[in-house]
Amino acid sequence: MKKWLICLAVLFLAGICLTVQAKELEFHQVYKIKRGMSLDEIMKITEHVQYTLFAFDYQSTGNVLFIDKSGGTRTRKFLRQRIVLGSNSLSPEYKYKDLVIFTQPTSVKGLGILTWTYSDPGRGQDQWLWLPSLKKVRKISAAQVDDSFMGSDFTVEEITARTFDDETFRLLGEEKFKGYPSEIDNKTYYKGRDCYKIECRPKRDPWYYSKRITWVDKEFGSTICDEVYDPKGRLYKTILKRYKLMKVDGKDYYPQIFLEVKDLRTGHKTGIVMEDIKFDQGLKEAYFSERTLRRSKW
Amino acid sequence: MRNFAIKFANAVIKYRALFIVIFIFISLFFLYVIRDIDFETNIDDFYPQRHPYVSVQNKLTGIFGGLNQVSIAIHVKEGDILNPDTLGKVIRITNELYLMDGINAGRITSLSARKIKFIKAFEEGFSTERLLREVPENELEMMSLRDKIVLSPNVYIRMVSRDFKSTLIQADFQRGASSRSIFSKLKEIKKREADDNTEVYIAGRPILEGWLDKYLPKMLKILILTALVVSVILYLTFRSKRGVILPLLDSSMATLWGLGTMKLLGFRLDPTTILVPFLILSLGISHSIHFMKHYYEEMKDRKKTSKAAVKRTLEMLFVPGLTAVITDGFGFLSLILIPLGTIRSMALAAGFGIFSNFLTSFIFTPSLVSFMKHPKILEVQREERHIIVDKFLGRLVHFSTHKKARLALVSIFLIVVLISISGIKKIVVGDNSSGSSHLYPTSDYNQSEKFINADFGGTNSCYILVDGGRPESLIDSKALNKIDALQQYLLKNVAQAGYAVSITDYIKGLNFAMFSGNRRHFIIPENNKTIAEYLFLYEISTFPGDFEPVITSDYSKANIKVDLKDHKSSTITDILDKTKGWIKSNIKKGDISFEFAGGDIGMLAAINDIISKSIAPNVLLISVLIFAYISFIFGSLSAGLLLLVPLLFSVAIIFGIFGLTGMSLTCETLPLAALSEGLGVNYGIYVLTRLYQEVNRFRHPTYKEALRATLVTSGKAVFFSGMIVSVGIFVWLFSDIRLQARLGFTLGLTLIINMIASLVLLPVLITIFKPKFIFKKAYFED
Repeated sequence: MKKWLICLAVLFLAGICLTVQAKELEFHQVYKIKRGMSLDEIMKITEHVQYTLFAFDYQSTGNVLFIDKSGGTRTRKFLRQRIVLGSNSLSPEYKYKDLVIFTQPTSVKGLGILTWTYSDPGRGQDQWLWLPSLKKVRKISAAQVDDSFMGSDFTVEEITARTFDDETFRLLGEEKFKGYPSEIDNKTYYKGRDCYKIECRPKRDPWYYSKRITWVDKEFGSTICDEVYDPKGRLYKTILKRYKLMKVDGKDYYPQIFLEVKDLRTGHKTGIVMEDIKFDQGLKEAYFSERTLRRSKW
Repeated sequence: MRNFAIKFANAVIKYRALFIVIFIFISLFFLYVIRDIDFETNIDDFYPQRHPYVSVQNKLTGIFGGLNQVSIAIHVKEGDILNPDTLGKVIRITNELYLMDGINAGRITSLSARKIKFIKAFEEGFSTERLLREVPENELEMMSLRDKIVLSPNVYIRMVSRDFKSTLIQADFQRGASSRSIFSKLKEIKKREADDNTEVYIAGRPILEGWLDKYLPKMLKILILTALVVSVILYLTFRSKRGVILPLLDSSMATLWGLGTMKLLGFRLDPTTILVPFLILSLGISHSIHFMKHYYEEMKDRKKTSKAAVKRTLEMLFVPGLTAVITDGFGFLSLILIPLGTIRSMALAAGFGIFSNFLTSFIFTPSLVSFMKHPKILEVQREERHIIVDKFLGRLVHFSTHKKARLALVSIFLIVVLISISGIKKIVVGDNSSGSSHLYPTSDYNQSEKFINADFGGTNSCYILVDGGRPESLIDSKALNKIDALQQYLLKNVAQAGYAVSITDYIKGLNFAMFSGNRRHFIIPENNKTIAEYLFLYEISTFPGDFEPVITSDYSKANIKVDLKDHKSSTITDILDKTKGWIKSNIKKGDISFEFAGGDIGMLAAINDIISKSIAPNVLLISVLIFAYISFIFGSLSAGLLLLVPLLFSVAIIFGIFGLTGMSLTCETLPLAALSEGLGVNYGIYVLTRLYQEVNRFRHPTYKEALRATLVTSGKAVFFSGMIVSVGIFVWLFSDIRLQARLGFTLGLTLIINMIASLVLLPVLITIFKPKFIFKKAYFED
């Protein structure tokens, strides 16, 4: 009898675990990391926070700094808008749609890229390019995930494409973060914050990285630092991601406000500063269309 | 001078013990210094760094990279490269290159490099994707890859040979990356990937440096071999232990000092500087021979002690010895004019070595010998017994004394000079064999270069630097059209130009894709804003630095690369002249500027330029120095002239041979004239001094006797020391490095000619001209 009860209890607990694992996070909902969550749950939340899936829509300006080994700096500026769709929306086949318009350098002001990302992970993105000088929209192939993200030291997957299914995870422990010394403003960030230290290994092999060690901040619910290792197991890239708390309709949103990456092999650094962040302005899906590109005020 | 020589001899004898101790200590110090002397060839040292073309090249590599470019060619014997095995090798090697230390990842190109993309235009837009990421899984994918390759002008023929039997992988390493580790890693890759059906060729500057460094240690073995051969000659000369050991000891000591100084000055052993020990060793021995020879001569007097004999020898040889050292010094000094770092280093180190050798053979050896017992009488006699050589040298006197012989000799001399001059007129500057002229055409490296050249061109590249002057100045239709115009002009008008590429090809290509792949749109757009957008698209689709080999990130500088089919000097002149002409008539003030010429073609042009510009002034300079100095020492202009004749004679012959055999002048001929004159004049100095002494001090009754006495004493020393120096230089022929072998052959030959001329021609000239500085009074009876 006793044995039978234990068996039942185990099955019951396993059942809970299974349902937790199978449970996908709902879009437009805020999730927070809580004590006792499984590693998979934590990793899903990080993805949710990174892609602002908690919000209905998102807008910000991005200020990109490219800093070469000798300190030479170039800047680029863009305006970015996103609508988060998904199963709760009228267009469940889309995960989200993005519009990026470059405003600097002035010589390319108005150059725009529209991207539709589908809910089906097997379906590639659709992308359109607007060239203001030619007044032409061209359909283009989306960049491959290991390509550079907008000419920076980030790869595409590090910013827009990596999902929960791309990696396997191993919890290395819970610890206070050692601090990230930013080489862009020379401040040390996030020293002593409570984090999960997690090892992530890509399922693709061979791949451009063999593993990354990530520190997931318990409050922000997302990664604050990545250390990326090359296929030979050598650390080659470090990434810092900073967040801030925004109260939107009484909910706690933690958008990214600053990204920094350093390629240790080339000494090249990229920084992206997000400003004028706005959430849930009621952007319409129809806005994310070729027509908007064509009507671009630039 | 004579008084000083006596004082010097006294001082040496007085402090002889102290000198021995000091010399041993200095040698121990230098032995410590050179304990970890290393080989490291830096090809930069073989180029004239201040030459405008080299400056342009340095600018180009500073801005766009490419300094340490390596090429790996994979060739299949059966079938073509489009098979899983070969493509697997390409992907494996490319991935490995990305992970190498010091790699300039943005400059890796290969079928599977991250920046090599296939652009396909269609009605509504275009797609870009990596050309090759994974090995195609089936025949259909393989066919599609073939089509993509053929449709990509930057891949077909550039990265895949026309017949699909070879493919090229290129990578570049940062300044300061170790050539040795690049070389060993690439050799490892080559060894691993080559198999029954696959040949792998590697080339590029780090590989060349690696090979040179690999060949260099062999030279040290050759040095030991040389010392052995020289010992045999020494034994044949002196037939005694001290006659072998002492010259070897003092010249080794000088060699050690020379090497130590080299290390202290921060020079490393490279294909030129490694010749320094050979030069010091053989020149050192040649000086010692004169000392030992004279010493034995003195020792014929049984009552004389070693000490007295040494003193007397020093007195007699101080002047010619010092003079010879100084003229050697002139030879090396005048090399400073040649603007190649390696030759300057060699000159400096050898110069110091020769100076050290004066100290060792005029202070150390005499101090040591003065302590020695009187040699056994047998030894002295044996030393004198060179029947064949004596007979031969004695016969030489006839040339001077018999009128007909004299006439015949002078006629032969004049004919040879005339033939040589006609040869000199035919001289071709610059080499056209594939690869590096530093190595043999049959060497592994040059075979690799030859293969890569045949299949992909590329190693005969000429680069032109485009400078817009300010940031974003090249985002300009007018500027880009200028670049394109020059590029197309060169392609059309330089017969040997096969391919050219610049930023304009990228702009035209994207315009072509933007307009649905319509050929009419393979042009540079007129709107500068469109150009800016295109450049921006390239920028945001590549990692930082990936696009920088083509244009700088501030869009102020770019480059044009033109691949030529060969590097004959006529081809080089053709492209340089046409470039210059085009710029002159098409570029006005305020336009973008063009600077040429970088790449291998620019480097070769610079070397050829230096060769044709510096050999004649170099001959002139060293001749003037020697003439002035000899005239000063002997107090007579005719002495200077007399000694110059054999030198110019041998230089004329050697350059005549170059012209007549069609052997082209390459950079190893640069130090030839200075060294052959500087070192070769020694023979004449010893002969002339001795003749003077025989005539004026020993008062031989006839010129014939004085000349005979000169030839069998100093003449014999000249003969043996000349043999030794030439042997020490001829052994370079055993080197795997052609540069050394050719210098060894030509320099050895000129020195032999010099030696013969000093023994045969010089006495004849003296007989004919009867210079007053030797014959104060009427002396001739014939």
